[in-house]
Amino acid sequence: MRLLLVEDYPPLQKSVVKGLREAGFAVDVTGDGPEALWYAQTNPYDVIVLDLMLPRLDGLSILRRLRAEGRESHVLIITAKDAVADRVAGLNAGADDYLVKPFEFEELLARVQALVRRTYRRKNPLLEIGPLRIDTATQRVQCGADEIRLTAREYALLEYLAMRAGELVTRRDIWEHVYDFHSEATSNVVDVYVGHLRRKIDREGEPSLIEAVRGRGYVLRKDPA
Amino acid sequence: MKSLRARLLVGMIGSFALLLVVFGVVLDALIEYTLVREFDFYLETVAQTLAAAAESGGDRLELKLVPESLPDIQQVEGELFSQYWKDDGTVLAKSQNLAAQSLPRFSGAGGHPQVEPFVLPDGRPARAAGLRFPVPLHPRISGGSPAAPGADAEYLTLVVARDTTDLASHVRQLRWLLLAAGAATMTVGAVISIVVIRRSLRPLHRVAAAIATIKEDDLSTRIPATTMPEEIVPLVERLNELLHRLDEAFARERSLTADVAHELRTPVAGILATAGVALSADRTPADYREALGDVLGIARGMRSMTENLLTLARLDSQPAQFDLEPMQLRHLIDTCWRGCQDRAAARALAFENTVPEDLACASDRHALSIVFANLLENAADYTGHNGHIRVAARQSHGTIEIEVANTGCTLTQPQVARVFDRFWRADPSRKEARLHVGLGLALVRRIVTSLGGTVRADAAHGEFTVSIGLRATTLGDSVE
Repeated sequence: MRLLLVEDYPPLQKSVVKGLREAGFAVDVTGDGPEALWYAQTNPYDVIVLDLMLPRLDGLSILRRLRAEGRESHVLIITAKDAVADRVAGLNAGADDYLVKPFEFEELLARVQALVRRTYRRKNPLLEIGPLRIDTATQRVQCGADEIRLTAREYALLEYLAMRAGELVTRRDIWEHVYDFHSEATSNVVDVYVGHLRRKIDREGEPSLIEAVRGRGYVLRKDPA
Repeated sequence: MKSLRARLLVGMIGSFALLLVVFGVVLDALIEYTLVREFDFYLETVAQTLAAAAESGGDRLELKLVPESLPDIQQVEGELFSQYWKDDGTVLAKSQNLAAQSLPRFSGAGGHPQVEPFVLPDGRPARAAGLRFPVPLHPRISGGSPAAPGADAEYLTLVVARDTTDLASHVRQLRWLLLAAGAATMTVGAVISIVVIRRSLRPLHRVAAAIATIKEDDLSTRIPATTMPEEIVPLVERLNELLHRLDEAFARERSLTADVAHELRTPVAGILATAGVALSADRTPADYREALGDVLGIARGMRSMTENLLTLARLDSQPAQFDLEPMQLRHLIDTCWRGCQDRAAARALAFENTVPEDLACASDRHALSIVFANLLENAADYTGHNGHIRVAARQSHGTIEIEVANTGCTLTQPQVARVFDRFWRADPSRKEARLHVGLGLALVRRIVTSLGGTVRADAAHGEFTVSIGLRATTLGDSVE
């Protein structure tokens, strides 16, 4: 899942980015107001984690601009402002959730994951597609009875395909939701990762769970043929 | 007497009663004196009239009374007593109502009647007028026999007495009347006093009631002064001013506490996230070292913030204790700059210390170090790339003026006016890992004013200048 972290306090920025990337998120990060707005306007983020006090342009203004422009990314506000009036103002500006600093990273992660589920209209953190069982809370993947070990990028790819299981997912979609802004832009990097993933989840002698649609993209099949 | 009301009441009623008593006594004396005078005058008149009407002939007395000349005597005759004596002491005549009794014999000198009080033989109080007067001798009366050879007149003594029982009862009646009138006046006066005092003191009760409704968590209430009597208005106004100052102080206190909590949240969030993420998976020692280093960096920032806060709180709560010692300013500023050199070098900042070598002042080394370290750190953090930081100083009229200036200032005038406020930052966000929570300049001002100096901030032509004025002292060779 693609996430934008807007936080201007470097130590917090650094550790949250690290934790989110380890949880399989493709994270873009900035500590500057106008830059945050530009990132949010040019990329289809699943979740934006937004600090309110930012240099040059404050978080609420960014949020209002995005909502006015019709951008639907889920926004989680993280701020030291804990007054009810502040929370109400944040939510009324179009935020989906509000988390007061200081917070435990676990809670931030859980809230972000909850927003991701809302993005893909799911309630159950456990995704069951065919023989696959994907626990989005713990990032554990099982195929049948076997535990499958995936890298963060492979997991991110599988989770994205699983969230949209049965739908055609284009390479562009994958590129936009699994890779962050600074990823190496090579044409076949998606295909390479799909190949890695197929090798780990597919069983010998059975058709691949990830079906390639020639020239368009991939579909994670809901019901194995 | 603690109660204002009781004091006013006692004072007013007491002085009123005293005045009334004095007035009553004087009036009473005056009335009695007037009545007695009138009484005496009457007696004297009667005596003189009787004397003028007397015609003597040896041992006989005849009165030639003209009736219209003595209407009063006739009217009151029943109460009047009179007795005539010859000079040899024989009683010539006396009124019938005396019967066998006798009046005291006395007379005034020089033909004037003299009045004296005395008690009648039957015990009644009376006053008598005594008069010695010459009586022409009439042979017709004496029967032709000469009274004394060679004399055509003899002297008689006349005493006219009148019972004063009526007068005394008259005076007594008037005295009672006076007493009753006084008591009535006193009562009415006391009631009026009580009502007036109670009404006058009512605004004080209103003020007290208004004060009683003020709670320490809401000092925004003000006591209305417009309806108060003008003596109480200053009291109410001062009270309102006090409330205003207290309200502001409480508000500052509340916002300070809120600011502290707020400013601590972000670094605490940093520690929680750094440690939480570090512990969320098995990592290499290098990863743990990095996380611990980050936590340490945050903790150091928090330490400097808490120390600044503590220093401010100490300076606020007790008179500052400073150890004054002579020191060279240039040297002190160079020492403080060393702490910022790395940061300044990273941004290619030029530092210029033009403070004269021999400029010295007697001050607290530690306190001044905090002042210049904060000023230079601010300058190092807020000056743009390739900027200039300049420190200059000069001495004039016993004051040392020190200027710390840096280029690249974007502050507006209203912002410059606020730079010394606690927790004020031009930009509330943090670009640096270091915590600039807006305490540095607040601390600078607090220390400098505690040292008896002045501090001022200016921004002009992109240059931000903090000017500090310190008292100068001349130094001998003992300076390091």
